[in-house]
Amino acid sequence: MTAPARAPRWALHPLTTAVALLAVAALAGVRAVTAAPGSDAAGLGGLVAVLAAGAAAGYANSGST
Amino acid sequence: MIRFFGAGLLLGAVLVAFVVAVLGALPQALVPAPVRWVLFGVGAAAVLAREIGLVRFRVPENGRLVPEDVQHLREWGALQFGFEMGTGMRTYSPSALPHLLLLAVVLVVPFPAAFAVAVGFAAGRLAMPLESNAWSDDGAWSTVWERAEPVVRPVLAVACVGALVLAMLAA
Repeated sequence: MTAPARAPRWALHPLTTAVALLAVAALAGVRAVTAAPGSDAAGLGGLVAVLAAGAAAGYANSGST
Repeated sequence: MIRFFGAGLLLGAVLVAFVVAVLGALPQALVPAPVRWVLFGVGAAAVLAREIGLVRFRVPENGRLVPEDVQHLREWGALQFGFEMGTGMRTYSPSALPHLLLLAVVLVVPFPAAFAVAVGFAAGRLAMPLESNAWSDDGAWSTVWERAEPVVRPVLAVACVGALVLAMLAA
């Protein structure tokens, strides 16, 4: 009897999550800084950046569970 | 059950964000921005150095272990446990990044954005058990995490600190 094929797990790997959060944080942060001050783009970029910062902290605070 | 845990996480994180943002309104109104930026920058540099492993120092944490039977909680129990975990004050804190978030909300994050910080924290906190459950049911996730941790922690720290600094510069 052969073992069932396992689905690729790269999407679930913690490094994937960390790199994705880093990418979102960088894109949103740079957008916030480079957009016209007071514009919707700057506000949205800042909001997404702090959301990503929160997510990174929450993930790091989880340990292994 | 995970939905109740997630809802509890969100409630706990939002409550803490609200209280800290109210407390932060005073320094944000009275202390000049450059002074607050410098204070936050010092804190951010220290936390980044700690997460990367350059320095070691303790951060405030609740030294209580999570009991084994927590996985058998029903709806309201999961909601309550999620709430406690969402506050970040239920058990040990393996990272100083949550503490940096609190400092950011006090010093540099505008009041409305504090709730985005809370939503992000709850989502990040929820992601780990979701990934763990999806990975396998044989406990292999702990091994995966232990192997990845030396790389993952610095990446998360750079993401968190970088995002907060960029958001601060844009505000």
